[in-house]
Amino acid sequence: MKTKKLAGQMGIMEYMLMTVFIMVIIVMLVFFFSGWQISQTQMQGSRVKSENLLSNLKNVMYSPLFIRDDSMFDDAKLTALQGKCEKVKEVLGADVFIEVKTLEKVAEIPCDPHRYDINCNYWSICRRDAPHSALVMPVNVYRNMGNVLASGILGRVDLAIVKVGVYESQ
Amino acid sequence: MRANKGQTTLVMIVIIIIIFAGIIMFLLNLAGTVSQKEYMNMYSHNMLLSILRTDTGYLDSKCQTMSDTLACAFLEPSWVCEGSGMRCKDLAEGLLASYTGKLEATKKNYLYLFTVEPTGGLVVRDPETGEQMVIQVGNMDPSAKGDIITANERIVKGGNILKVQLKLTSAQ
Repeated sequence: MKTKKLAGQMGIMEYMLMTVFIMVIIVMLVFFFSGWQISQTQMQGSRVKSENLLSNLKNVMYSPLFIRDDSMFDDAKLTALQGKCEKVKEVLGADVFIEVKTLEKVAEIPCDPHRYDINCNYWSICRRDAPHSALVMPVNVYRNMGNVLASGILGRVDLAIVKVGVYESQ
Repeated sequence: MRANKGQTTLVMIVIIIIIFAGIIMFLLNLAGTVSQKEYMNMYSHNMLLSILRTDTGYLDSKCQTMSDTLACAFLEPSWVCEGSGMRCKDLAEGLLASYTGKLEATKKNYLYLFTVEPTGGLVVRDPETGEQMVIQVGNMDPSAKGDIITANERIVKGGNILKVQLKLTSAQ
């Protein structure tokens, strides 16, 4: 009789211990999932941001407003668009900026929209000093007056980097 | 015996919950890397194409652009590029290193390997060393494995085809 009672108590103890064990696991899982969910939400936010950046980059690299051929910018178009931020905003949307720099010289020589200069190597459109995120991509720039010879003027294709960014919303 | 069976079922349920949670987390993490991969893929293809299209600055038609110079390096290995005083192969290697170095400065965490080799049974021997010619420039170990993005292009000249490949990976 006594042994049967003891076995019953042992059974109850075992059951309670198991219940506590499972409760601890469930609580740990709840905490773990909450933390993970928060980090996933943050990741999702940054993923949407980088997808938006990538889409802007593609728009710039394949827009006839800037290029001569796929991912080959035309220096005359870039020069003409310097200071015409509003026009570019109509195409790409607000808060987007573009920077293009050829890589033959390290020094940055900004291009003047009022004067064609073959020695300049930097174009910036809608660029201002504000927090932003951006992506860079290797591209070419077609210099319309790349080689001026006695026999005529030849174009030249330079290696460049395009940086397309979006300003952080305030 | 009956109590033990109940406990085993409970433990099994907990294990199944943990396994499912693991699978869900794995799938969601996989989705997170897609956008980064797309960017790297685009970067490698653009890097390869942009370098091949770049003008070298020499007016000799055999080495006017980077792709002309690479073709000259394999198809006319002894040709000295007018204005440079260098053989096409040396010029091509020097320019490739220079261009990729400049791009590397803008993306410091990327490792790359640029390889140019003839295809279709064409064997080109270096006029100086006599060895089979392959141009390889980059800061990535050629035997490296893992998450590597590969971009391929072909240079077709005079019925010959050169395979140009760029392997890109992130240093992190």
